[in-house]
Amino acid sequence: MKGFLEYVDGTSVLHRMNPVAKLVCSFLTCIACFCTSNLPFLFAVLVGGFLLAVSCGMARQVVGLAKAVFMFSLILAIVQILTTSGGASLVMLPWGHIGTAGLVAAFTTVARLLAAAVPLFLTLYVTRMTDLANALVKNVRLPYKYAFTFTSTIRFIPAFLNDMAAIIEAQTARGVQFDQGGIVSRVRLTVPLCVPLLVSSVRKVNSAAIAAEVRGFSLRNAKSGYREYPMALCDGMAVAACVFLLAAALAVNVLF
Amino acid sequence: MIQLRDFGFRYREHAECAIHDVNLDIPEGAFVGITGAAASGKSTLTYALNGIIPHCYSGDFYGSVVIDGVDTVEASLTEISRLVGSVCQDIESQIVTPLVEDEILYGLENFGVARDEGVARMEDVLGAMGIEELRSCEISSLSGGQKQKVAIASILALRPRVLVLDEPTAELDPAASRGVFDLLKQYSREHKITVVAVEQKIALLCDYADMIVVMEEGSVRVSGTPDEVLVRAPELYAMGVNVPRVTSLTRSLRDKGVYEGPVCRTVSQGALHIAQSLRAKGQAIPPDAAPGGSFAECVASCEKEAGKGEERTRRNGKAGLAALEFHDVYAGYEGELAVLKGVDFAIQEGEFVAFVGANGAGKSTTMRLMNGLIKPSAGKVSVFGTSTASCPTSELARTVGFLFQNPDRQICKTTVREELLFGFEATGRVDARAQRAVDEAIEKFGLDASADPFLLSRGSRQLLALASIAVSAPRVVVLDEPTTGLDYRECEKIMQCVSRLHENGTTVVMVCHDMEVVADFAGRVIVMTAGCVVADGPIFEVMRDEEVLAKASIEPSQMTALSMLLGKGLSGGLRERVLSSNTLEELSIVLGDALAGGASASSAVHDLLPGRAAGGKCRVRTEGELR
Repeated sequence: MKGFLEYVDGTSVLHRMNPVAKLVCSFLTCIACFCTSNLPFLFAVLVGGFLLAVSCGMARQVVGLAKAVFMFSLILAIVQILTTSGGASLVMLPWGHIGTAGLVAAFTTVARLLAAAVPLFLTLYVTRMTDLANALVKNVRLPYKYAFTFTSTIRFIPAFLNDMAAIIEAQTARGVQFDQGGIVSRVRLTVPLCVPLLVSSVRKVNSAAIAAEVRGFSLRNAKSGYREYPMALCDGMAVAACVFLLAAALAVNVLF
Repeated sequence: MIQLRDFGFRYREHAECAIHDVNLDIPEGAFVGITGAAASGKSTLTYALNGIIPHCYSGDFYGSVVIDGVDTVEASLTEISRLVGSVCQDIESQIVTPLVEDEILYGLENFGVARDEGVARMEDVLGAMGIEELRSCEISSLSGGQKQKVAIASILALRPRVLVLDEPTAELDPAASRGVFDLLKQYSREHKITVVAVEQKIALLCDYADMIVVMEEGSVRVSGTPDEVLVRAPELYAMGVNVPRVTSLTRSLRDKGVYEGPVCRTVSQGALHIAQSLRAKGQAIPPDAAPGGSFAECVASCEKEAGKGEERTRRNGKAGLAALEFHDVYAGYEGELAVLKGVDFAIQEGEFVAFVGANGAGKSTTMRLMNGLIKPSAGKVSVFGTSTASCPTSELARTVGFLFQNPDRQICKTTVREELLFGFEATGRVDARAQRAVDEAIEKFGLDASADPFLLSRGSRQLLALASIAVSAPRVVVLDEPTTGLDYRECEKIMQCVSRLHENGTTVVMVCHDMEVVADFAGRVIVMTAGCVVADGPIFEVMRDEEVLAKASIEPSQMTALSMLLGKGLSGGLRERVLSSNTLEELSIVLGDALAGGASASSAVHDLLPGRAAGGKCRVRTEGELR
């Protein structure tokens, strides 16, 4: 789990864009995906997202995360297949049937979740958390403590995952069969390990809070950071494009 | 600069005061070391100095703490932070940015330092810490020692008048620890910064600190210069604080009435003063005597006399199938370059082997290969003939027990008894025999069966982790830095338990930075550097190989270093006896005899007691005792 949602260095256009612009674009894209059920539209957004990932060298990371989102969305898709009766009947069920409508709904769900997630993941991969927090504070006037909370959450995810991996390693070395058996047994074995993870997490967060306090955390405001995050033409164009995408999603929903 | 008057504090959740009646005066520019056993109040004292008490932890505050005229209760935490910089124990939690440059600038930005000045200060501290080349690096890619320097640099950039550090070298090897203290000492001298460092490594503190404060049960018991403090060694021992071995040796020689020099702190001091005393007592020490013969030759001749060579070889381990065997092993972590490059060794059942080397040498990777947590990318690792590549780690756990550096990664139950039983639960072996084994372990390790593991001290948690591995009686026990973060008493307790396991036939493999622990307990040492084995042999043979020590950036134990240094200037039987002495007891007897003009140098018989290679204590006996 090393490198999960961690920044990957680079010099692409996406890397150089304003952090706030990137966040706004990814949110707009996400909302657009949830405003329409048009499958071709969603596929187009998804393909566009992957092409963006390729353009900034993040294809491997995004594909990896997309696989995880795909597995999650598969669960929802299966629920939809089993509960959406409509279209030509394919398989009879005691409570209805699996129809083409159900299949389309399932595909739509998967495509929507992937299309919405890819831009968000990409933003986190091409943007340093500190830059994102500082830009939010400077440009959007977000109170620093909220920006710090957001970035700390993201910053601690890899730390907690590493802790969890170390805990699983320690328990495997005691004979707990994390390295054998199926996913159900592994999940069942993981549950009691939440205790040591919780203990170490609380300690870590407490230390982090105190360490930040003694370095002047409460004094920080919009004027504090040395780096500036001006909006450039490409940032404006990217945001405008995403606004257009949102409008298009709404229009497609109305027209089709 | 710093005055504490009748200072005491009781945490809100606790009934007793964590610290009480502390009176201290610390002058400006002093380098103060604070030490003491676990739970003696050291960290609470640092919290009082950096304002965390009372501003982050609530409770009852007694007395006063004044820093450069600022009362810490009346001032805000931010005002105190302008005066006092803190480096906390958990470096990973302190770091808030991913880049070195940003981390150092973070505090400067918060305190409103102008940009140009902030950048100038950053460049200044990067230079002072010797890490200019790391300026644009990701902090996650740095070693432990480098991260520590970045953390210190980011605080020094704020130009505090006082710098407070809580165990800054806990996870560093000896060379890196000295590096950090060297830089701190130099910087604090140049900029007149008062440094207060909490440390367990008393030898390190004595080399750098102007003043040592020893705490016990929440109050200051001893304070003064290192010499003044070390003279009170028996009191320090009673408080669970170790003293450098050289100090114990010179004290013991003084107590015997044969040595009138000062009580020494360092090996070089000790060698100088003892040599002077030997010369004064008429022991021939030609100043230009060239050392003759290697240690191995000396030992061989002694063994021949004593006729114990064969028995010592037998005690090195049982012949037959190796407990652990590495054959041309290459290994690394996913997506990274090979950490181990062609490692070869075999460990017989019953041996006690220590792995030493600087951080990043590949020792922890080697340990993880032993129980299958990592599989080799080339070569073969086998445990009693079974390749680890073909066996899941959870199955190997029955044969190879592994104690991790951090016991909190392992502890997962709400009582000690459940924790001890968990290993049996995990392998589906909970039965009457398991319950009996748990009862025995509770008694043997002195544990409280109903205690909550997470409320125990670090040392007790480590002991519990060791017990929960030992309870299922694995044939091999692997210990990854078992004494990190423990005080002397806790360290001794853990190692005595490990020693007992070894005496019962368990093969013990240990990674350890503390060469005193290695010298006290291990019989064989394997030295690693840059993923390769550079030396493998009996502990004191390897520790005397200066080429190996330099290559691997390790230091010998104090007694071995002292005997090597003294031995260079001696000749004849005394030289042989000094060179073959490796422990405090041995050197005390040999030097005591020599200074008293006791046993004849030519007639002393060496008896390297069998079992030394397997970790037992070695004692030199004179002819008189052998009759």
